Formats: sequence, structure tokens, C-alpha cells
Amino acid sequence: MTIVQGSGATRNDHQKNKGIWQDTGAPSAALFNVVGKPAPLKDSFKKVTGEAVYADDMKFPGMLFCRILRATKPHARITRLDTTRAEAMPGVRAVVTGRESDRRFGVLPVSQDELSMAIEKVIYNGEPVAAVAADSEEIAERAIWAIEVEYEPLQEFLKPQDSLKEVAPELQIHDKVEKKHPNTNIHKAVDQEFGDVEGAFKQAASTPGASFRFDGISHGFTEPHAVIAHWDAEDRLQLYTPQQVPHYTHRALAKVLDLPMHQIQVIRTTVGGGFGGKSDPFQHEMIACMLARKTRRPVKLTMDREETFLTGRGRHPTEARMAMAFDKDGKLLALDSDVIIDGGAYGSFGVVSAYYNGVLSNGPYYLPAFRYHGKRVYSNRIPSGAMRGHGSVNPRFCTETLVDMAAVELGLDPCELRLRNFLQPNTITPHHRFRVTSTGIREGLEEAMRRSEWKKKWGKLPYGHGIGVGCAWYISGSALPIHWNKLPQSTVHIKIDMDGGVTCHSLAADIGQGSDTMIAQIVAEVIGCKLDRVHVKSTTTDTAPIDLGSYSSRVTFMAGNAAREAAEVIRRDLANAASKLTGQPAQYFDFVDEQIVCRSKPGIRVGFMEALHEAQADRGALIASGSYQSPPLGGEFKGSNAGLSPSYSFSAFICELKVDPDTGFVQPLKIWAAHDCGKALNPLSVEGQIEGSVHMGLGQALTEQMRYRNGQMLNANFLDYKIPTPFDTPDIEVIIVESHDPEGPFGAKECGEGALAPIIPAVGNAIYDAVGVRLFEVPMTPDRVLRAIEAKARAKA
Amino acid sequence: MTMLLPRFELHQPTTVAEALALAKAHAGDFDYLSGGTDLLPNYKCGLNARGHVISLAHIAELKQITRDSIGAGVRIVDIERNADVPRSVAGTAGHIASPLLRESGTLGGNLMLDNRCHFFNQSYFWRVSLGYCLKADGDRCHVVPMINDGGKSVLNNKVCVATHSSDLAPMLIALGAEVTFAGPEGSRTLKLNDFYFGDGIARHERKPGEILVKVSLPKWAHEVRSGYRKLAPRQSIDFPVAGVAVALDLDGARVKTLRVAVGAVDTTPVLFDFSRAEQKKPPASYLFTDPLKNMPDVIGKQLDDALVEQISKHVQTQVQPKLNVPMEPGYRKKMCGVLTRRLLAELRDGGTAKA
Ligand SMILES: Cc1cc2nc3c(=O)[nH]c(=O)nc-3n(C[C@H](O)[C@H](O)[C@H](O)COP(=O)(O)OP(=O)(O)OC[C@H]3O[C@@H](n4cnc5c(N)ncnc54)[C@H](O)[C@@H]3O)c2cc1C
Ligand code: SF4
Repeated sequence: MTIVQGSGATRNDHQKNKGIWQDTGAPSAALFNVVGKPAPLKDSFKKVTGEAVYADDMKFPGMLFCRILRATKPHARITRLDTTRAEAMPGVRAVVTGRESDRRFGVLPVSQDELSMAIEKVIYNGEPVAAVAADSEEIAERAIWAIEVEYEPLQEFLKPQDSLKEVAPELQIHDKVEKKHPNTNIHKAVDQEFGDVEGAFKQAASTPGASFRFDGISHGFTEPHAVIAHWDAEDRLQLYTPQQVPHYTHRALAKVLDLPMHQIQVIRTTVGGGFGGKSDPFQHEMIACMLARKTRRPVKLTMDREETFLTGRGRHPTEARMAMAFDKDGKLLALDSDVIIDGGAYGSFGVVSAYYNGVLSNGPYYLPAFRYHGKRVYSNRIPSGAMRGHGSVNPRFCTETLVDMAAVELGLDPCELRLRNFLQPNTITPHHRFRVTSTGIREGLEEAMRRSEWKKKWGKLPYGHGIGVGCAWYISGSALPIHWNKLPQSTVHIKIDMDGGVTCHSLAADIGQGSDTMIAQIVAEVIGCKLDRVHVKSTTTDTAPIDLGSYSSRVTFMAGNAAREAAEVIRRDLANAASKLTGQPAQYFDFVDEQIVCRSKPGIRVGFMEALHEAQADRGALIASGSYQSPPLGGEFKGSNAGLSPSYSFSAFICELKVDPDTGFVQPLKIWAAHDCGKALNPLSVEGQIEGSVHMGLGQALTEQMRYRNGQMLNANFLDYKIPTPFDTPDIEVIIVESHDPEGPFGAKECGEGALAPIIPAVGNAIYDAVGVRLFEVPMTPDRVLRAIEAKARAKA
Repeated sequence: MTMLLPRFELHQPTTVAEALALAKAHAGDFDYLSGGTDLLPNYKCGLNARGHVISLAHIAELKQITRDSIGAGVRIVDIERNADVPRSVAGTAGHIASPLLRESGTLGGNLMLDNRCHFFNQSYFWRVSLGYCLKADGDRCHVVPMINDGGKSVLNNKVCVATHSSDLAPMLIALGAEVTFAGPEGSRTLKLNDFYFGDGIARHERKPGEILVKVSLPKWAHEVRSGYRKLAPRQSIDFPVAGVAVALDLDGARVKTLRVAVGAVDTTPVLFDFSRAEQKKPPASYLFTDPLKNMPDVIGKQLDDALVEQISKHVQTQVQPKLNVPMEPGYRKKMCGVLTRRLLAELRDGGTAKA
């Protein structure tokens, strides 16, 4: 791992203005005590020793076990649903069906289209139809199969093309569809055009275009969904759930169960991986609560892997047609893109996905003209949703492939062409008005080129051996909250009592990405204490102030800023106390290593505990609150909110690989992964995030695909869903680029999602360099690669 | 649809005789269990589970490994690390499943493992959705729904084409291994190749209650050039979707003996014995590979590139993979040719190829 400084680094004016850090001009690590230093994640010891408690580990007195009966048809009317036999079974305590509630929910207020359990008809194979709570899992399992269901099949919509067609209203999967396309199964259509696209294509020197296809993929997180619901003796509902976004579940529960929010406590359990797959409010959460209400006993529901696949929310199966226009110097002139994404049975985050698939193509290159037609359709397949790199990954493969094609056509080095087009720091994109504050993509790409010896290799390696590049950008927190209101997007509370322990409360969900550690580091840095003093409580809605949770790569930026603001309040309290004790002015103190040191007379200093107790005199525990709200951003057209972010991350990857021309197998040899995360608050965890992104992206690039037979997923298990093993994963060299974002906490931006997208086109472009074929279908499985090689040989012959 | 093991009674005999007695007592309603890495996942899916499970894991007689024979209870990892077995066999063992599974899985289980199919290796819920098939609980086949019966296309309610997915079986067959069984009527030894036959349900002719005791290798197996090439989507954990094993004996540059055994493309491993010494009944159905059909003459010929090509083409043409495991049949078929060609050339040029 190397850390490279972005040259366009904007100083952190935000911090400077607050007079907290001395401006030495150079953002150097020496300035910080905690931030920028590798820190093992706070929960890692518990995880590696097995001490961490996941929902499935929890036991409560009198606990019941739930199993869900799922639809065995993709699209069918329920003609009979009889639970009598199941109810009569010994050990069965309650059975629920769709009759329990007809209230629909969904993560987006505009797509409230999920029922807890199907009513009247089922819309995908795997949809919950009924559920049982029983004394044991075994009894519950037997009982669900004693429920009698009969179906009358309806026309199935299993290909996105079918969903575009007009159909009779009774065949629509959902009543509410895109207004522009009534009587279809189109969920959302986005049509945008800015700048002179036609003109650009007319004057262009190179106009590469192609059709692309992407299979759906799944998050493949380690921990299957598992929840426990308890309607307690005080008539409050407690839900234990490994949620990325406890707040949205909290809202949905209140709606579906018809309870005031304050009567519900959502407790986030240790999350065994999420990647976007645990960020919707879920049917199984509702079902467990309904059974808890009926039985008044704790109800546990643990899914198996197949059910976890069926619950879905992975990356949309995608069909795209795209073309780009470049002038003779390789300057990008326009993008014309047409994308259909298969949303499966529910809306989920889909309206956002429909926008992101288009608008996030406005970077990392300056794009003067833009046309986008995007459609998200409903189908009778597993619901798609938000997955790491949400909405940006598939179109990024398309554009990065086209950029490469243009470079070849224009006789330019693909890296050089990219360098000519990157957005500059402090730019506003011409149409969507995305505000780019910091970017270190140029430094990142240049460093990756140097380290990979790109110039020596590209176009020069022997047949079967190649090198390729891919670049990307990503939002660092969606500026637009899903529920429109005036509340901050993140709030953090701090409490310090006489014991000197610093307790931070936040609802930013640590899903393994290390947000608890991030909050602790920021607070420790600001108040000058050791990291092990700081304890982050981020699990419980009763005590944690609302945070919109872990999605859209928002946590470090937003919760981090909120934590910093809260810590600054404490810092002022301590400075005032130190001032009182020493007679020196409060603003002249530095906070270093549990000492509050007078800046001009370093001999004068007060220990952390001494200052703390002085500050606590007459008032007790110090408490403080900080919050974050994105600044107003963007243009004023329909959909202008999509893609807005207070800052953007950038990445540039280079991949070297071998292709076996006889078998089509692709063997990645080495990846150089440069990612601009603003400031690496915790380089150890940034490195982990980037390596994880590369590994996950390689899965989509080469092996992972959700395969279907009609409406049924063929490979809903980890033997047949091919996540790369350690043996398949090459050496990854992480290059962290620090561009010091002016508004990020200590200059930080996201690093959890943006680093996934570039690896896929880097692989595709390296395949081209190795064997001269372009792959337009992802994953680039051996049979597809071989077919392309053979087609090329045939064309030559 | 939870992955709970169905209830069964577990027996843990310590001798083969004891195990056979238990088998007799529970005839028709038991399975032997060795490492459990194949049987138990199938049980969890509710596939043909029985009321009694007789574990062979505590029987010392099954665990011997020498230069000449390997006990059925020997773990894959112990074959992988044994210096006395042919390198090609150790190497093949090292390609099975994953390091962790090789710690549990055994030779017996590997040779006896159940055939695989996308429509069979699924949860109960999944199979309810699609409808059961011949191999468990049903009366049809989702892979070959219709079958040609005397010129007429009729509903296939008899032939299962589930894929035999063992790595070691083709390697051991190529090397001419024999298997010894202990059964109610005493013990018997036969060629491993003769042991396998039939469709994806029958797959071999083990008599009720018989226990595989050991696999013996002829002296020849240690002397010839041999190797194995596996096709699988990933470099670890995946079952083979095609596997080519070769045993080659050269007389100078001329072929003395050539045995190519191909796994994971049919209901059993398929032996191409180019000396035609080990001939089996031709397969009962056109759905299965007939290695003898149009088999080129290679014995005594110079193993030049052209002959290598001819042999690989023959293998490629004859194998009949089905669309019931990962990767397309057409691709797997083609790869059988590529793997055979590469392995043959490597064995010819370099002596013993690593697996
Ligand atoms: C994820 C995964 C990946 C796998 N990948 C591979 C792979 O790449 N290649 C491969 O070849 N296999 C693979 N397997 C299958 C299996 O793990 C191995 O084949 C292993 O060697 C089976 O041995 P076992 O002892 O665990 O078998 P068990 O499960 O104990 O038994 C399997 C069958 O053999 C019978 N049996 C076992 N021993 C005897 C005996 N002595 N006499 C009579 N019958 C007996 C049992 O009754 C049972 O029907 C994989 C399995 C899993 C779960
Ligand atoms: S091949 Fe065998 S296992 Fe597969 S569907 Fe047909 S009968 Fe069932």
C-alpha cells in the first residue's frame, strides 16, 4: 500500500475557519495523533475470536422459531390458502398470512409496493406467502409444508423486453407503474438530454458504440438474514436485526404495524456483511414482528442461503446500448445511452437506480453532451436493489469499454486519453451541476501507470498476456435524503462522565466497514485522547440519534462530520477548563496525547482527566451533539437531485492478466488499485475496503451470475454461485490517493463503493490487450471469452 | 426450506463385519457414511434420505494406504500428501473440493458419490417449485424431457442423465485400478471401470449392503506416464465439469498403451482404452458416450502432434455432456478435446505430468 498526495489538494478550509488546526500548508500525518494512523477495527477482536453476537446467536426465554412459506410460482393468483392443518400441529404457536396487513411498504416513499406476505397473487418465486412460529425450527418447517396453497398461473414476465410491452391491467405486476408508460410493467423511466448530442456525434472523429448485457449478481454477504422480534410485556416492540439502515426499518415497521415509532425499538445486531443487501426494510422483519405480536413471545427467524438469495436486492440484470463521441485529440464530446434494468418484483431503491444508471456517467470525465433513456422494469424475478456501487457499476463497464475503443481507433494510449478528459478539482459539471470539490484521479492513474510499468507493457505484451485500465467516480453520500424533511442526515451525541470514558451515540450502522472505529478516531483526534477511551454505541434506536444509515457511501462523510462537530463542543469545554486551571486563553491550547498543551508555552499543560473533572464541576457529565446536513446543490430540472453529493471519490485501476486462448480462462495476475478517498482516516481499513472491492468486482467480472430457469434461480447457493476463492484472487497493490476534500471530515471521502466499478472494465480492456477481443457480456466467463476469440478467428479467415 | 438434517439413527460400527450386520438389519433403509461431505448436503436437501446411517468412519481396516492399495476410508488429504501413491493420483486428490473438505472427504465417498444435476441438487422448496424428477420423488427428467424410443419421441420417464462428478474416479480408471468390496456374500474384486455403469440413478453396480474396502493399483500404474486435467469455474471448491485423466505408455515414440478416462461429462466416468483391451458393453442409450464408436487406431503409432490431435478430437466428439451442471455442454465438450491434447503432449514431452 502506498499513499499518494493529490496535487490539486484543497486545504480543509472548513477546519481552518474553525481555528482548530494550524495551517502549515502541507496536510501531513504529523499534524494528527489518531487520524491517518492504521487502527484495527474496534469490533475485529470480537469477530476473530467468535465473541461477536449475531442475531442467530441470541437466545431469549420462551423464544419461538419462524419459517416462511414461499411462493413456488413466479406469477400466479392464489386460489386457496388454508392454514388449518398447520395451526393444528403440536408445537405450532401461530400462523400468519397476508391477511395480517395489507399495508404496503418499501424503502422509497415513491415505491411503497411490498406486502409483508402475498395477498391474492404472488409475483415471484420465493415471495413470502405465510409464516409459522413454533417451538422449534423443525416443527415450523414441517408446519409450513402443511399449509395448503393452490395457484392459478398468470402470464409470467421473465425478460425485461416482455415487461416493456403493453398488457391488460390485470396482468400488470403492480398497479402503479411509470406514468409515461401506462399498462406496462415499466416501474420508472428517465429521459434526459443535455447539450448538442446529435451535433457532437456528427463532428466526432471516433464514435464507438456497442450493446452490452449484464447478468444479475448478488451481494453474497456471509451472514444470512436473521432477526428476532419481541413484543415485550411493556407493550413495546423490540426488533433485533442486522440492518444497514435501522432508521428506515423503524419507519416501515411503524407504518405496517400501525404503531407510533417511539413504541418500537430497532436494535442492530452485528452485521455479517451487507453490501447494500441489508438496506431495505424487509418482509421478514415485518413477519417476525407480526408473529411476535400474535404470540407475545420472542420469535427468531434465520434464513438459509437460498432464502437469502431469494430476498435479493442485488445488482440489476442490465441491457444497455451506448455510444460515445470523441474528437480527433481524444476529447470526449458526448454520451448517448439507453439502458434497461430488470428490477424484479419490487421497487426497492429502483427509482434511484434508474437515475444512477444514467447520471453517474457524468464523471470522471468532463462530458459536454449527454442523452440518457433509462427504464427500470418490474418482472417476476428476484427483486433487485442497491448493491455496492449502486447504479454505477454496469454503465461504467460500458463507458470504460467505449473509451478504450476510442483510444484504439484514434491511435492513443488509453491512459493518455483518460488523462485528457478527467474532471478538474473545483468543477461543476455542465448540466447536472454536480459539484466536484476534490479529485486526485490524475495522480492516481499516473501512480498506477508508474507502478505497473504501463508504458512498457500496454500493446507490447505477447499474445494471451495483457494489461488494461478502468476509471470511475462515485458519490460520497447522497445529498438527498430519501424521506424529505428538515432533519440532519447524521447526528452524533457524545457523553463523557467522571470515569473519563467517551461514549458516542450514532445510528450509523457499522456493517463491518468500520464506521464505529471511524467515529472513535475522529472524536479521539479532536479531543486529544487515546482511541481506547472512546466507545461507540451505534445499535439502538432508543439511545442513538437518527442517522440515515450505511448506504450511498455516506457514513464517513456525514456521520464523520457530525462526530467532529460534536467533539468540537467537548473540546471547547475542555479548553475552557484548561484555561481556568492555567490562566491561559482558551483558544491557545493544543490537544495532544491526553494533554492539553499551551501552544506558546508548551511547559504549561493540563492532563485530560484533570481538565475533564474541572469541566464537569457543577454540571456532571459533558454532553454534546453534532450533526451534518448536505449543502444545497444541483440544478432545477426533474430528477436533478439524483447523483448529487457533497463530494465524489475517484479511482483508477490497472489490471494485468493472462487469457488462455484455447479455453477462454482469464487469470488476473496483478491489480494496481488507486483510489482517491480524500484522506485515509484509517489507512488499514481503506486498504481493506479497496481490496474487498477488487475481489468483489472480480467476481462480477469473471464468475458471478444469478442464473435462472424460467422464474427460478438455478444457483442460489455458494457452490453454484461462483464467488472467487482466495486461489482465484490475484495480488492487489493498493494506492491510496489523498486529495483532502474541503468539506470531508479531516478531508475524507468515501472508499467503500467507488473502488468496485473500475476493476470490471480494467479486466475487459486487459482481455482486449491480451487477445484482441472485446467482451460485451458480463461476467466474462471462459465460454464467452472463447466464443469471442473464435468469432474473431472466423472473421479473419 | 431450512437446511435441517432429517432425523435418522446413526450407527458407528468399528469393523466391516459389524457394519455388514447393521446393513442387513436395516436393509433398504440405510446409507453408509464416510466423510459425509457428499451424503450430508444431499440429506439436508431432503434427497433420498434414509432412516439409518451407518458410519464407516471408525473402521480401521478401511484406512490403510500402501504402494499397492488405498483403503476406502483414507481421507483425500492423506492421498494428496502420500509419497507412495502415483504422483498423478496425489495431484488429482489435491484438486478435489477445497482444503477443508479434503480433510473430511474420503476415497470411498469420492468413488461412490452421488451424481449431480441442477434440478436435483436443490432444496426441497426448489424441487417443489419445479416439480420432482426421476432421481428423487418424481417421474420425469427436466434435462432430457423427451426421449427417442424406437423412432418415437416419448416422455422420458426412465433415463436420468445426472453427471458423475468425481475427480479421482477417472484417474484411477485410467491407471487400471481395481476395487474390492466386502459384502454379505463375501468379498469380490473387479475393475473400477467395470463397476460403473448405467444412468444417473443407477451409476454403478454395487450390490445391496456392499462396502468398498480398498482400491488397488497395478504395478503398471507406477510406471506409466499419467496425469489429470480438471475443468472447473474456479480454482478451488468446485466440482469438475469435465476432467481428463490419461495413462500413457510409450515404446520409444510409439504408443504402447493409451487409456484416457473422462469424468464429469456423463453418468459415469468414460474410459477410452485405445488398445481396446478393456471393453465394456456399449451403453444402453444413445444419450450416453460410446467411446468405441469410430475409435482411431493409435497403438504402435508415433505419437506426433497429428495423432495427439486425432485422439483429442475423438474424445471431444464422443463425449456427451448435458446441461445439468455449471458451464455449457458445448463448451465442456470442446474443453475435453483441449485438455486431452494438452495433457497428451505434456506427457509425451515431459514424462509424468503434474496433475
Ligand atoms: C462444496 C463441495 C465441493 C466438492 N467438490 C468436489 C470435487 O471437486 N471433486 C470431487 O470429486 N468431489 C467433490 N465433492 C464431493 C465430496 O466432497 C468428495 O467426493 C468426497 O471425497 C466424498 O467423500 P466422503 O467420505 O465425504 O463421502 P460421503 O458423503 O461420506 O459418502 C458419499 C457416498 O459414498 C458412499 N460411501 C462412502 N464410503 C463408502 C464405502 N466405503 N463403501 C460403500 N459406500 C461408501 C456413501 O454411502 C455415500 O453415498 C465436493 C463436495 C462439496 C460439498
Ligand atoms: S438428469 Fe436426472 S437428476 Fe437431472 S432432472 Fe433428469 S432425472 Fe433429475
